[in-house]
Amino acid sequence: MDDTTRRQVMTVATLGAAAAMVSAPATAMAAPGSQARSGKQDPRTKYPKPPFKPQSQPWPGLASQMDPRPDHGETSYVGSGRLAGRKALITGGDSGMGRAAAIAYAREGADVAINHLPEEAADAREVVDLIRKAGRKGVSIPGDIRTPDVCQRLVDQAVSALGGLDIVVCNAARQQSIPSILDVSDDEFDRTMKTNIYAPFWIIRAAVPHLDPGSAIIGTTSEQAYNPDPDLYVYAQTKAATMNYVKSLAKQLASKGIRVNGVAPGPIWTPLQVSGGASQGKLVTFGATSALGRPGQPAELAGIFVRLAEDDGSYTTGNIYGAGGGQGQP
Amino acid sequence: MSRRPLPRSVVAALAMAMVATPTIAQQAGSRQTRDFVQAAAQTDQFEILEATTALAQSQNPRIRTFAQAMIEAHRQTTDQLKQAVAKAGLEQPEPGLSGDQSMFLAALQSQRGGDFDTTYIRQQVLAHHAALAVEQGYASSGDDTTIRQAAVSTIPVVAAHLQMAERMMIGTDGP
Repeated sequence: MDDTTRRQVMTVATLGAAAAMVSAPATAMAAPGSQARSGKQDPRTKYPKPPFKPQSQPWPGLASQMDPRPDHGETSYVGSGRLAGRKALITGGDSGMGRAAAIAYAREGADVAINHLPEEAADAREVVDLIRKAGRKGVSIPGDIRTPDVCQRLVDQAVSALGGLDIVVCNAARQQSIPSILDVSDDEFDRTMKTNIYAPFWIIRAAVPHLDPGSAIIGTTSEQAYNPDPDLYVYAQTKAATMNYVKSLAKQLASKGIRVNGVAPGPIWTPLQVSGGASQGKLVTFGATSALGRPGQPAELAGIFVRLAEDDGSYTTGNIYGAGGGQGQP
Repeated sequence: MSRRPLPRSVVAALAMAMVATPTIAQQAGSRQTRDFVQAAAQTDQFEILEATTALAQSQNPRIRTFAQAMIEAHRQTTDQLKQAVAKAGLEQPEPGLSGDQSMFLAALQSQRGGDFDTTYIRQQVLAHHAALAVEQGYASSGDDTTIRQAAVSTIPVVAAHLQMAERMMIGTDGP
């Protein structure tokens, strides 16, 4: 781990220097996607529909190996300075919704540190590159967040690399589809609890002393918090816990001027699904159960993450914003 | 695209039609017919999605053969329905599933192994019972001749599927 830490410090230093050399303002970088804002788009046909090809990757999976490749807003997200000068830490920022948030935050003017598993370095490199192309500081901090030490160090490194912290997005999660409780091992249960429940606790506890009034904490919950699938018994209860801590912490931290909110996605096309989060049967028809007849793409949640972090949303705290494709509760 | 000006009489007729249009948009065909077309299209789509799920999930050769047959048959009935709808001068149905069908598919997606096979066949028996009732209902009292003919020709297909599914249920559900 010491070795990893040293490498991380090196990475941080290198990236910091690289970011300083990039002088292009964020708005100039957003130009490639500007045509996406020019017209109304049909939500039914905007993105791929099932059937999808059967596919499977070892946990945690890479976005770059998925077919079709998920859209995190790489070419479409256009910023307008909504988070100018903010400093954000996003766990699971290498792929999926965390990546969509990272890209959007950078294009809105924030410096962004992303945490990811060491196996996800390939995806993470792409994200750091995109953050830098937006003219912002991008930092990658690999580490498995299942221990308090790693979580504490993650926050410390983010604070020192970015020079502070204003936004904490607890998004990283473990999900495995296991149809029977009889097949759930202690190890699997523990792994999911540690990643999905303990890590946000450790990270938020470490981060709060650094957060000034106007800061925001965002947790990724799920439609599963309200209407769980039977094979997601382990995962779904952690999302219910997330939905719940958002509400208690919002009340607790309001006195410090820190807002706490949650994002509740429906079926979203991310590596989590192709690396054991869904069965092959669920995957080939993934999203067909939603009213829009397709899964959501991470890019379709980027605006929610921005909304919950920006000052314009200052009265929004203790709330859950959804992107459920026609299904799901609050 | 040529842009010939419309004759004055047509313009006048259009203007009158616009004035006379009630707040509810006019749709071709009776509500009974439109509802039937939508239900039949949803059944086809549901069958194809369930069978696609089964082909990706089930190892049981009998299930796989049945699923393959469902895909082929319901692609055919999809085409036949589309042709009939076009011939009858109606709007093509919207894509999508009914509420019950999406709950069925969601439940199936969460199963594996023997439980998957049992769930699939049980759902198939129920779904084909429902589909048969819908087809028979329209075949006996539908108000559009073309669509009624399509329903009449679909009945034996659905009845055969129901029989197949029921036979398999004895095989997979029994033990």
